[in-house]
Amino acid sequence: MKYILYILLGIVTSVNVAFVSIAQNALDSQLNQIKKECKELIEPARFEGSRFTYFKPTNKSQFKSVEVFLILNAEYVFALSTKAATSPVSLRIYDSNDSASRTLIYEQKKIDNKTITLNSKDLVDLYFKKNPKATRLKNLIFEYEFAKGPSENGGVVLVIGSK
Amino acid sequence: MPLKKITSFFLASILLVACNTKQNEKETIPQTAIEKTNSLESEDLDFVLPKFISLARSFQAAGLTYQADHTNPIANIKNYQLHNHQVLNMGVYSTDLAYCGINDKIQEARNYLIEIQRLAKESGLDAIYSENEIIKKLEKGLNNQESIEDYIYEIEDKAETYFENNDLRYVAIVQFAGAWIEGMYLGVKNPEIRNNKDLAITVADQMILVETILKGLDSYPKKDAYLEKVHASFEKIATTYSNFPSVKKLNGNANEAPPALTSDELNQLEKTIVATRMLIINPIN
Repeated sequence: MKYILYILLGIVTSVNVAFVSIAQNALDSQLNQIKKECKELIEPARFEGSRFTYFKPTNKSQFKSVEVFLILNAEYVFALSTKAATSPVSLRIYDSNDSASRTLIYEQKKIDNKTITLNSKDLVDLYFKKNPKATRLKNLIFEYEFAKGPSENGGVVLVIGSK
Repeated sequence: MPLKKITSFFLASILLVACNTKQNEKETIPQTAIEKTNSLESEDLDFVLPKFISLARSFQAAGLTYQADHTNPIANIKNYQLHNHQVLNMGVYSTDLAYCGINDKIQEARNYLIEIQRLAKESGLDAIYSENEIIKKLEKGLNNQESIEDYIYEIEDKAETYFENNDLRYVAIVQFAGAWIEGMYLGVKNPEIRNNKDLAITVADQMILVETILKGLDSYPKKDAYLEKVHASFEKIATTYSNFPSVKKLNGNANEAPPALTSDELNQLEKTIVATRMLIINPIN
């Protein structure tokens, strides 16, 4: 009897692992497809990099950030997609990770199942109005707020290009 | 006995289902249990690594001129026997490839590409580079400056995708450390740096990436004694820089005016960068 119970436990565990692995692969596949679409959207800008942000909604909002370095003295374009997100995503773009002194440059609430594009020219205009000490735009923090929701893995895609 | 057959069947099923569907990593790459179990949830503060060629282009735009004897000699490849040496120097040679490519030194760029391929193969990362395809493409672009740059971007794009899809980002960060130090070396050793304000500003601007490199080296699984030394060396660069009076005067926001590094500060920074680069390109000395 004990023997059969151990076998059943092994089966349940391995089936669980398999489902998690399949779900992860399906999400990665979807994110890679979205990345491809975002790269097409930013053309003719040259692809400078991308980042997937994985999350799992809980019963309260959660925050994740991505730091972007604008190394070139060029116009940058950004494509951000929440098509694989499993709860609404709000975006805030800051000039620094220091929460005590950072300036909010741009905000867009509840980006639900779509892709948006931004460019650094517009962000510079907004930023210089809010921070008179700023002389350039070299560093950005993209902060995502994930609304509470059902516990299902999701992701956000950020793609960056330079002109 | 039926029970024995059933048991064997279920045990075999368990083994089959437990296999990961992703590509198996070669033995030379440290296993990354931490990276895989966290792959469903990103870090609270993540980052996008700039392209190596963009680092090189930013220096070029600031007036960095080509100096043939400043890149890491190809002959040094014989020193790179261990995985961490290989990955770091894949980064170093990647910056040299970009530096040569954007300065129209096509044969030199081609030579560096061959060495990067060799290091990739030895470190178990040869899937990133498909040997003949790459050389053929580079040869086709031999007389066209813009297509060389496009092609280098394509190589980096392919590498980024491979690292992401195979949970090898920690390797990408170590490679980036090598690429960054080589770029900074080319910058600080350029004869014009003390007369060219833009070049000095670019060196200061790229210092923002040191914290990211340190974070990446911190999270590298199975850090060996050598990588600990490399980490300590990068820390020295960061500490030296942050203690400069011209840096302390500012509030640390990269979007405000950059520090105007004095000649003495540039000398001190150069020493730490040269020392770190030497540790990476000559790991056995």
